[in-house]
Amino acid sequence: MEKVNISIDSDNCTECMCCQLICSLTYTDSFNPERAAIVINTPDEIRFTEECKDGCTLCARYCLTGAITLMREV
Amino acid sequence: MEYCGYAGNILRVDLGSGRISREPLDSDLASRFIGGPGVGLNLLLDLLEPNADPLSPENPLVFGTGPLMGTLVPGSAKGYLSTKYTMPAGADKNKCFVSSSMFGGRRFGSMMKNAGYDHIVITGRAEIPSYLKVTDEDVEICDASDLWGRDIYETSDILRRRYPGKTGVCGVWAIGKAGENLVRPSLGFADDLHNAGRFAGAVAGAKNFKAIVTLGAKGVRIADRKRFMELYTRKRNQILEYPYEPWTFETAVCNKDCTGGMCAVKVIHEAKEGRFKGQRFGGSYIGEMLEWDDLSDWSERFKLMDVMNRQGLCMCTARRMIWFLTKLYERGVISIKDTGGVELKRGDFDGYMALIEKMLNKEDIGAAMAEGWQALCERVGVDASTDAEAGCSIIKGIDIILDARFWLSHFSPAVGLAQIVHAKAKQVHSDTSWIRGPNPDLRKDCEEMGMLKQEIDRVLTDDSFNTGRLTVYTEDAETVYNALGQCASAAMLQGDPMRDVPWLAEVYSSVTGFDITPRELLRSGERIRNLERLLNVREGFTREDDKIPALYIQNTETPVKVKDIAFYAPDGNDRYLMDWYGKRLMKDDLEQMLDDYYEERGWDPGNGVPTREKLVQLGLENFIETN
Repeated sequence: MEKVNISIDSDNCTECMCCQLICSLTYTDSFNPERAAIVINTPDEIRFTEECKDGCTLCARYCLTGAITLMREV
Repeated sequence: MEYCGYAGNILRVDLGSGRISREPLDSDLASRFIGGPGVGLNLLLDLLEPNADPLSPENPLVFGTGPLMGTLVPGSAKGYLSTKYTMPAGADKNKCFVSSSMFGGRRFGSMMKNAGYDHIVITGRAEIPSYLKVTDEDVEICDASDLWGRDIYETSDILRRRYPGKTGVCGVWAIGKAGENLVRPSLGFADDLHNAGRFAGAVAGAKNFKAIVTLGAKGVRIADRKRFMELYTRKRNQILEYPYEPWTFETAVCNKDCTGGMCAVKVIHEAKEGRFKGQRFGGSYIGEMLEWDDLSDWSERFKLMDVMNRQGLCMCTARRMIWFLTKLYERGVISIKDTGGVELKRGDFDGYMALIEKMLNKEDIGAAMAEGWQALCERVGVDASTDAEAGCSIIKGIDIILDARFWLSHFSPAVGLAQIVHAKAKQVHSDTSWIRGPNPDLRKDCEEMGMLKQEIDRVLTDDSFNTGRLTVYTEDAETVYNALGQCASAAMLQGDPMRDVPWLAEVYSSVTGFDITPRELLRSGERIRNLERLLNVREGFTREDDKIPALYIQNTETPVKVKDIAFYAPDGNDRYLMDWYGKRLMKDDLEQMLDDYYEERGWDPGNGVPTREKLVQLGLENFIETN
């Protein structure tokens, strides 16, 4: 699933899993990376699953390394 | 009992009978010992017979985590491994320390909790090479015949492909050839990059035990989400404002982190040129990389270190043994006949690699290296612990990773005394997290450990501090981090914001729902530290074993030449053993530090054993008979 407002650069991913942790806490009420809506298989793969909520940008807001970033509005 | 923070279960696996059982985590144990090695050492205590052979099936391997592991708390990524380790302290091969190693990871610990377990106890010996699969669906002892003989990276890759997660890889802890061949200075690695269990790889090897896989989706629940997020956000912002830069090197390809981490110190390097151009090497090994300074070709350094990591050979001990033998060879003390045909000279990669191979295969002199310092010194007829030119500082049979003679902060609670009194002679991060040389904020540092005013007044003087007494509290604070599953080195790297036991007490409460004060948390650290001491007293360790390294004492009279310690002596001066304020230390000063330490600990200064009064105070009365 593509998200129009988020940009991904897997080279910047340090695999800290903060994106999966905040995602799962918010939508499953527990820290549960396997139930997050984002897949982290670096170096090749960072992608969103079909369960990812439209308009949600939590992962980008909690990413500290520039791997997942909010795109600026034009 | 429904837990928050904790998974709430202990998994027991007997490799000999194949029996697998699950039991609930005892809430009293969790509240008194928090988690991590606090609980792990209790589990070990029940199973380990004193004076057991660490390489026997009877020696348990206990893995686990703490209640913060797998949450968003920065640095909450520490797993632990408790066991009786393999390095003999002296001539008796069964007199080995009992302790816990802490290790980070990307998935191993968090997936263990998500599979439903805080602790995994492994006993017995499998008939065939085996690994353990731990998922939330089932637990299974699996045939590892196809993995035995493979290195750690290969093994981990195969297992990750075999057990793919939905959103990422499974967690893996594995050993390599060193552990399989019962080389005592061996270790395992968690998730490739995280060294886990220095001197415990062979404990697994002796069990025919290759690896653990963890994967699950049970989730780690928290008691008070709103409060947790407030606490997390406050700390996250403090860390972001703190002037911390991730480690960078010309050879770095990328930085990796632990779960919830914010320091990314696991660096993947690649040699841009040299004999092994393109050679990669990963981990948080700055000192180790720099100390191979007789190899000007960095690709050779990376090659050696990569081979040792892949095979789970302790690179610190192996390097010191290689240097020891190389210097003895150059001195003419040993010859090519002694080394089994290997010619040794400083800076010669081929000789070094040949010794590593011999060590891994336990051939020729490598067989003695594989048995530890005692065996190696007997074999060559030279005591490495007293040989200033060729040897190294050794405590309880263990070479010291951060030698207090050289380290920038001199002889400090962080690097000096804690090594001497600790069960495993302190390894890398330890109490360095807390006290960073003379600074005007010592009182603040103490408060952030959760110390009471009267304790601080006893430790601090007008213009200095009492090293022996302060060490007690830095140890206890570090133990708190370990018990929570929290990274003590993140506290060092992320700086002041993460040195904060009062904050951790609040976070612990928000995660688990159990209220605790900072001082109670620190008391739990003290309880765990005393339990560890008791386990080692059972193995025959006393104050006699808390020996000041002979080279430290030599260095009170004879300075180390700056040419030998250039990296550690930026001032360019030859170095006597000094305290943090640059004052020379003498042997009596060190003995006084030890006396102060035992007194503050409430341990008998004569034998270093916890007193009855201390055990009663800590609620450890049931261990009085052990004493």
